[in-house]
Amino acid sequence: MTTSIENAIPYKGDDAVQNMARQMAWPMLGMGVMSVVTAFIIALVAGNNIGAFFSPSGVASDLGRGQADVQLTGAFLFLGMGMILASITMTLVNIVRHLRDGGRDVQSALGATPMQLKKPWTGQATPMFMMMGVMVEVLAFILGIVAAVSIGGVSPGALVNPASASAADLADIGLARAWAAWLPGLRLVGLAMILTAIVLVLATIQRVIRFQGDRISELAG
Amino acid sequence: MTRTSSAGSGAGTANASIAGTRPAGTAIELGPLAVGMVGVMVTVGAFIALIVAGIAAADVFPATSGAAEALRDQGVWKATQAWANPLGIVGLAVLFAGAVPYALINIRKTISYRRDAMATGLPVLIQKGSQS
Repeated sequence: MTTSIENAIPYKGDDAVQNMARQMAWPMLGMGVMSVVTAFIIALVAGNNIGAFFSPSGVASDLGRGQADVQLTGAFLFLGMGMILASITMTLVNIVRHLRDGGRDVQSALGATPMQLKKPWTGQATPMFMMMGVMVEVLAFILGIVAAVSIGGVSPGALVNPASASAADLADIGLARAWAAWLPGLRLVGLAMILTAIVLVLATIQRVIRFQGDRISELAG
Repeated sequence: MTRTSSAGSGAGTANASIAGTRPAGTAIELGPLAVGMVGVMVTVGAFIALIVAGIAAADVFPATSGAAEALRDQGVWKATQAWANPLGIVGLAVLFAGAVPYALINIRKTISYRRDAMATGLPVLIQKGSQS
């Protein structure tokens, strides 16, 4: 049986991207939650260290550890958020898969040839934006670790009084401060890309639902 | 209207009645994406401003020029960080509060269209089934 619906093709199963979404949605969510929880624990340690520095018995090394932990917190936190949003994207892709398979079952039950919507450009662009966003978050995570190592290697006295710092310590402080300035922006750009992927997959869901309405009308006509 | 008539060729008056509810056209599809792109652009703008802040911060450690220059760098660093970080969050908020709800509203409208299509088409299909 033929169809006159625009961009309708015979039913075919999952492609590689949809397979990945099927297998990775829940593991990605788990990894993201673990990363966020890790960030929270590191933040508690950072707060403890910085609080210890300002206590009467505080030593300069507490401040160094605290500042390194603050860098680590940001790195783990945004990596986790990126993974959670990527997991939401994959879950929405799975909804598209279920809508398509449900449509196949209904068409088969009616004795019609199962047709599906040809993957629209929004569906093609979804994995690209999601992967770009996750890669940006991973890059920001690695740079955040480097910043944490850099500030952690500074001698404690130099952190308290930068005027007395050696040239090497000043360079490390400068690197950590400069990266701490723009790394949050990079992390937000990564999240914005993954959110764009979510908007794209929502647009795909809308097209798939509309296709189902068109197909029902066609079969009844 | 055009798409529906091509979808249900010879569908008759029943299908013509649901044509009015069919969400079609590029505007409704591209609307959420356009709003999303605004959010991404705002976030990228904040990121570029923060790179400038980072360069100013790097110039402070160590201060290679005079004290006045170092003070100016510190001002650029702190001031830019103060407004650019919230600007980045505003970009995300545009995506969360603009693009995503817009796309969800479009889905709701499309589900209404599918409901109308099923309410009109299923009785016909059931009747066909009972006759055969």
